[in-house]
Amino acid sequence: MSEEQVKSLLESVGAADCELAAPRSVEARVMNAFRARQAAQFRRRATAWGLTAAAVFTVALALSRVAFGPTTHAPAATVNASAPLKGASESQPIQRSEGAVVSATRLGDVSAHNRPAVSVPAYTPKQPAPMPREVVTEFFPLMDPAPPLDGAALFRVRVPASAMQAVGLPVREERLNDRVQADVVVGEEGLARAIRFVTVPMR
Amino acid sequence: MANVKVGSMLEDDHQLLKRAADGDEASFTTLYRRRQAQVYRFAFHMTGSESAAEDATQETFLALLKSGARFEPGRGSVVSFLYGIARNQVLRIIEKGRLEDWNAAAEEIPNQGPDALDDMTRHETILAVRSAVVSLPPQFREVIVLCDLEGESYEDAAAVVGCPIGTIRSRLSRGREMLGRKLGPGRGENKARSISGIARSAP
Repeated sequence: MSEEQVKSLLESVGAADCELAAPRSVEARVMNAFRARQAAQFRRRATAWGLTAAAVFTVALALSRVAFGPTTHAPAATVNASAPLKGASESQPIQRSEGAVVSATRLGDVSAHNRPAVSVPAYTPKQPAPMPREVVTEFFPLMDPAPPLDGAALFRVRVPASAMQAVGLPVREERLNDRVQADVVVGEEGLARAIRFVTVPMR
Repeated sequence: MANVKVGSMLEDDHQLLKRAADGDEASFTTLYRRRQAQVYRFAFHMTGSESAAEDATQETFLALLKSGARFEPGRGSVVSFLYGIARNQVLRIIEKGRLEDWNAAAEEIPNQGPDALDDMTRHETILAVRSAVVSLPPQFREVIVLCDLEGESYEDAAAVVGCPIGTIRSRLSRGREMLGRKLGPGRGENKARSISGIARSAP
């Protein structure tokens, strides 16, 4: 058979097979995979936003340590909390003892991965002053819906008052840049889960 | 605002691919339905197996989702890009030895003409040619499939295979020579005629 005859034969077979196509089941599997990939990308973006928020509060914590030093706390006077907060260094969370009502199921120890990224030298005041009683708001969730929480740590940070406005609290425009104290619940995965604002009334 | 039908046939493959990479399901569906038959036929003629062709088609479009951002319009068409991905999938299947013995499976002969014997002869010829193509070494098989069965140009085939056009020509010539020996001398014209469905004189 000559090359031309083979070529002609092949072209005939190609024409005869031109109706061949993948069955509908292949399309269904491909489209399901497409949708699953889109859902996974959405979850990754949501996680990235959560990590960004956690990073912002971590930086705020570090800056507060640089500017103001670590603080020790007298028993918090709140309608929900009944136990005092222990003193904290820059590398340890404030340990919440039993009885506090927070959105997390339990508060665990800080592990290596969720310590503040910036190392701040410890500050020991010569004469620790007695702390005034604190007033706190309720916890405002930062993730909706929030993934399951296995463990968390509580960080005391200093943030601009605009953060209060971000969760729906009214703040006067001229006060938006003022610094306020806040407690941030950070999950073991490093995501900021909830925030409450703390005021220390002047004596 | 005029309704713009996203993923319409008026949009070229590259526009559809870009939108699909951005998460537009309608564009991805349009692109899949427009090109899946070519990919499937290529895989089927390379492997001789319907199930292998289905797997290769599915994996090709899933890989397109992942690597679509790497497509450069100046280097070739989306079809060539798809063929290139499908080629890798098919070669992987061939290397793993996942091909079924499709010759052993009974295949229903489509009744397309007034003469059942003509239909049988036609179908037998098609099967014989497919079998001969699948028996070729992969480097000759792929150029036969791309150029003679799928009607792609030498330039597009060279882009898919990743070799010079001269290599495509020489492999085509060699592949046709090998097929001529497999299919038998002097019967090419009759075989081609039977496939094209030119009926015998009525009894």
